[in-house]
Amino acid sequence: MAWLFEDRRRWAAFSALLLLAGAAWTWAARVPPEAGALALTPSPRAGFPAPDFALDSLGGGQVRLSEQRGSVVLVNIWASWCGPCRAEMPAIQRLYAAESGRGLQILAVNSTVQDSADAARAFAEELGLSFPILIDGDGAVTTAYRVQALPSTFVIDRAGVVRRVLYGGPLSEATLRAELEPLLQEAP
Amino acid sequence: MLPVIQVGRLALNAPGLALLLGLWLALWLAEREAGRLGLRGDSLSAALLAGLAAGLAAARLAFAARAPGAYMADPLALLSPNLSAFDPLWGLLAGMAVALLDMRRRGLALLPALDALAPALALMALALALAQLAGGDAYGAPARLPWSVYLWEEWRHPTQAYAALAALASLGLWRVSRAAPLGPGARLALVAGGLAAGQVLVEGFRGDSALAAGGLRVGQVVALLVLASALFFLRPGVKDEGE
Repeated sequence: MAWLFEDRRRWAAFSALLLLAGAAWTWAARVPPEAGALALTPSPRAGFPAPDFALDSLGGGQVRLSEQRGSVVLVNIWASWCGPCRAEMPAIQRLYAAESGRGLQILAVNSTVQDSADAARAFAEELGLSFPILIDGDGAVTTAYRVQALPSTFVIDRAGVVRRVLYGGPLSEATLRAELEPLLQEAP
Repeated sequence: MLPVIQVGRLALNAPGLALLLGLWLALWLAEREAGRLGLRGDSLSAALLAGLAAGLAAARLAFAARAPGAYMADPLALLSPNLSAFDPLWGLLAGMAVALLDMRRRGLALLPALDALAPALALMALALALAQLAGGDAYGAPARLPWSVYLWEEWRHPTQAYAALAALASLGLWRVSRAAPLGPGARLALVAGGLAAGQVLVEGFRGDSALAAGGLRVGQVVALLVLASALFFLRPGVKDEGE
């Protein structure tokens, strides 16, 4: 490599060649306008459309994620035996009580495949949860959202796009507010 | 992809762990390299740690500024160990500013100190690529190749692995030029140039690039500018002019 540094003209030629090759690759790798944004398949990660689901609610009826379009949705996947889930749920309830009027929806998906509907019901009653508690009996949502730790929290904007994924907990009310506030301020 | 390592009831954030390990190795390497370049390694380490502490504090405060009322009501939440509750950009800017100021306060010559950081920069780039591999970030465009990885519902270019290779190549570039009589600051420019060249190449295979006018990828344009600056700084004669 030392021979390159020995002569100014040699170095200039090398630099020009490298930059030209880089510029050519940059031009060749541009995304054509007709392709728009890079292809986005629904996926449980920031920047992607949230995978849709429809689950039975403990309160009766079925709740579909895509029907919440226009609201900021916090999907919290939990189990009754999970300590951090229990610890953060009161903060989520306080947020729901305070911000549902501004378009915040909470969907608390009980990972029933590793819990039970009875335990989920007792948990919700004990903590006085008023938002929809959804039963993921066959684990379809737990799998689709690639849950590897409980709780897992997905923050979805009004357009149905995942904006943040928060693995583990417990999340404080302040942390959740800091995540949600900018999205709540976005126009519906 | 392995975003979380579950150890019993403890959920470890794998990307965070990779970054932490990379940071520890980078600090160790920077201190060692500082000694080799005739600088006080402990002073450089102390300045970097001061920058790290300031960066973490600034990143948390900038995050909290999104909902100041909530943090005023619960100030202890500022100390939450949650790795999501940070604003990385503000953290990086504040951390760099404090580290540079502290280096100056400790009487460390700037360009040789930056040279001591050259291998640490390549090592941190490697740690970042591995963290992105664990978290599934900075993913590639869809492609059916023998070495494609299945990620986010598609077979894709393993761009995180490409970036890790580019970082290793930059580290190798630093290693082979270690004994060369380069001018002050040139070692950092060499590594930064190597990383920028790698970024120009790898970004073109990404599936999540931020786009500028005409569909150009912002990451490639910025990396080209860094590469041009590094090549200009490294041009023969700079050492003589500096002396």
